[in-house]
This record gives sequence, structure tokens and C-alpha cells, in this order.
Amino acid sequence: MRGPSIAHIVLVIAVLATVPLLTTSNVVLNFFTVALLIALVGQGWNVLGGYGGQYSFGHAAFFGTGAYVSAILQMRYGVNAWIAFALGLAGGALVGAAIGALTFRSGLKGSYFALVTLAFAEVLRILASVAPITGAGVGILITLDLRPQAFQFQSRAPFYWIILALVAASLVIVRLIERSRFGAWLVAVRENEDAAQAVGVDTARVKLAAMTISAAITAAGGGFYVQYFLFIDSGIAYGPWISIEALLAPIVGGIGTVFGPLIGALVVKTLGELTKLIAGDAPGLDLVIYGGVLVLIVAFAPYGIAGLLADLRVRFARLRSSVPERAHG
Amino acid sequence: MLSPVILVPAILNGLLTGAVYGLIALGLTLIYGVLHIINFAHGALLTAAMFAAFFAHRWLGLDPYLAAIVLTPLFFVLGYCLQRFVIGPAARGEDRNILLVTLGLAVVIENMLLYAFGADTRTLNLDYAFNVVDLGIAFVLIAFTIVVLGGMGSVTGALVGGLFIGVVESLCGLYLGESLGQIGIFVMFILVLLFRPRGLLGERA
Repeated sequence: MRGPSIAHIVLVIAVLATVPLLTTSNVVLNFFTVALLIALVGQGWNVLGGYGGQYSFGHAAFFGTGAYVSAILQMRYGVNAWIAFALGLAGGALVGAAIGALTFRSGLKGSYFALVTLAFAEVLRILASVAPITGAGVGILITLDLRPQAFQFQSRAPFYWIILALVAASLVIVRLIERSRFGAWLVAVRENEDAAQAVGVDTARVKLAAMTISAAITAAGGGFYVQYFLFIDSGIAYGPWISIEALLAPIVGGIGTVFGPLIGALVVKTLGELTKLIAGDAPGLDLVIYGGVLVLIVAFAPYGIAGLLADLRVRFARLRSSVPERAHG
Repeated sequence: MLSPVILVPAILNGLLTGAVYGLIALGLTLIYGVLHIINFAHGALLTAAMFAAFFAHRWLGLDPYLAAIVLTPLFFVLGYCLQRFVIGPAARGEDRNILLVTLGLAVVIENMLLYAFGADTRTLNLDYAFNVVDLGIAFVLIAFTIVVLGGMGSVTGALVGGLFIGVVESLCGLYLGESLGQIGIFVMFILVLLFRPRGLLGERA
């Protein structure tokens, strides 16, 4: 199956870019901003999990590092917010590379890889909940400074366009990976690691590179979170919730596809909002829906919504090509 | 160094918690040994069982040890139904799918309990009681640490590993402070997986 072209990406981003022009409702803009944030975090997971087949249960490690590095540099060292954001991204990538180097060198895969990434995230969460530099149990509040050079804005629209630009960049990166030699190696590792190794692919290095890119994209989400909500604590940064959102979006949308995480994030967030509308703001209920959706998708649509759409297209094409034959016969 | 007056009770306390951990890990290692399933929902089912025992005591006045006699077969049936009607058909025998399906189940069960009973911790007032019902995904990790430590599928490994981890947690809490107690467990988990993936008592990987 051939992936989408750059033109498709431009079209989708252009359509999404009109949202702030169509509505001034903060509720709607907030919904789309959070959905795009999850799409970005999920796209990070998708690089490693979707294309590389390495299912991480601990992407919170990268999200949280991106968030904390950015927040700490701003509040403790007075670094400019944009530079802090970039360094947060780099910090996340570094943590990804470190965890990747350790786990892949020991040959951990499958369930073991999932569990060990979760353990890393939990270690970071506990450390962040006691270390003074992360604000321990209190967390870090970013001082209000509503100027563009401080990465803060009067209205929500600029935030929305920034997260959209980040998502656009992640889509282009994943599309480039998909068509590159590196992408082919990555898929080879997913399909059959031993065979890939046998034909000369340096599987450990390919996985390490994928993990680093994956971590960087997810860390960008963490950095954006801090600017948008102006607050971070250990539970938000390194808690299991973000690890679950990170894998839920691409799995629901379509694992190993360019648009999967974006589709998945929009669908999952819509479901979450609908649950809140129907059942009120009850704690835990939206997560019950998420868990249920995860089970249903694995059971009935292992290639996610993108897979279902591709399936429909094939069936439709077959239907169209068979109609004239019948007319002649 | 701390004096034995503090150290010995800490170790005893660790052994007590460790025995409970060992029992939980025993369940997990059994599933792995027989079905080769990594059951992520193990901790969530444990939480469900704890709530069941709690309400059996609150409403029926049933002592938790008596409740166990009723609850064990009940959860046997629940486990059978989950495997037969949810995990089996949904995962189609693929490792990654099993992991995702049981993760989904864990999220559903835990948050249903949260929704139904709220986030307050609950204590049982019995003359021998010491436990508080407050768990989460992190608890699965403790059980997995023990299972991995003792060697996947090894029954003795699970029991010995449980006691060991209980003591590690207790001592880490003593030396590093209460909130850092669990960090010792996770660090140990990572180290064992990185350097001795077959477990310390290593029977089979």
C-alpha cells in the first residue's frame, strides 16, 4: 500500500488551519489543540511502534522529559521559552537514545521491551515526585508572560497554529521516513527481525535511531504542554496516562500509517468528549471508554481506521470494476 | 548503619509484604508458564478482588479469610470468561495483541472501579489488618519484577522473588525515604532485564 503524498499532507493541514477562522469558541479550539497534541505524541509512538514494531508502554518518559527540561530551564535558569522548548526536545531525544541503547543492546523485545519502558517511566515519575529541581510534589508553575517571545499568547489561536505546525512537521518527517531506505529497514525489523539481520540490516542501530526520533517528537508534545497549560507535575509528566494516549491514537487511527495518529487522536478525543457530555465529568469514565476502544480495535480492526478505509476503497474499486463486466455478460 | 532495633522490624515487615507479593506473582507466573500470556490486567483484577473482599466485609460482615473461600472460585470463573470471551478471540494468539488487549482490560477495570467507588483509600478495621486498597498500573510492575527476577514460569522463583522484593522495598524505604521505596523495585526490574533476562534463579526465559 502506497502512503499519502506531500500534497495530501498540505491539504489536510490547510483544512485544519481554518478551524480558528471558523470559530472563536475557546472550547472548540481547546478541543482541537489537545487532540493535535495527542496526535503529535502519538506520531512519536508511531515511528517506533507502528513502523518499527517496538511497542513502548513508557512514552511518558520522553513527554515528561520534554516538559520538565523546558519548564526547569525557564523557571530556574531564566532561559528563553523557545530555546527551552528546543532543548526540551533534545533532552527527550537524549533520554530516548539512552533507554534505546540500554534495552536494544540487551536484545529486549516484544513484551519485555514494553514492560521495561514502563519501568523507566515509573522510575522517572518517582524521581520527579521527590527531587527539589522538579518542584517535587508541588510541580512547576510557569510565570504568566503573555508575549510571543515568551511562547505565550493572548488568545488560543496562535497555540493552535503552533501545535498544527508541529503536527505538520511530524507528518512530513514520517512520510519521508516511510519512503526512505531507513524506513524500509525499520519495517523489515518489524516484520521479521532475524531475517532483517540476516540480509545485513544493522537492526540494533535502526531501532536506536527510530527510538531517538520517536522520543524527540513525543518530547516536543511535552514542551508544548508546558507552554499551553503553564503547569507540570510528576503525575502529568511521567504518569501512565500519556503513555496510554500515545499508543491509543496510532492504534485506533491505523498503526504504521502517516495519518493514523492524527485520525486516531481526533476520534479518541471526540469519544472522550461525548462520554463527558452523556455521563458528566465523572472521573475515570472516559478512560473506561478508551480501554474498551483499544480492545475493540485490536479485536475487529487491527489496522485501525486507516485500515478500514483502505479496505472499503478496495471493495468499492472491485465493485465498480465488476459492474460493467456484468452489463456485458 | 542503622541499629538492629530498626533494621530487624523493617526486614520482617518487608518479608510480610513480600509474602503477599509472592502470592500475586505466583498467579502471574502461572499464567505465563501455562499460556505464555503476559497478563497486564493482573493488577487490575487484584484490585477488583480487594474491593470484593472489602465489600464482603462491609456488607456481609464476612472475614476476608472466609471471603477468600468464596472469592477464589468467583474470580476463577471471571478469569475463565475473560480469557475465553475477550482475550482469546480479540488477540488471536499474537503476543503484541495480548499485551494490548490486557492493557485495555486493565484500564477498563481500574477506571470502572474508580468511577464506581471514587479515589478514596479504604481501610479495613480488623484486629489483624494492615492493608489499604490503593493500587494501580505500577503494581503490575512489581508483580512482573518478581516474575522476571525468579525466572518466567518458575513457581519457586516467584515465591522467593516475592520475599526478596518485599525486603528490598522495605529497606529502600528505610534508607531513601518512604516515597522512594518502590524505586528500588523498578531499578531492580530494569537491571535484571538488561543483564540477567533469564532471572536470578533462571530456569527458562
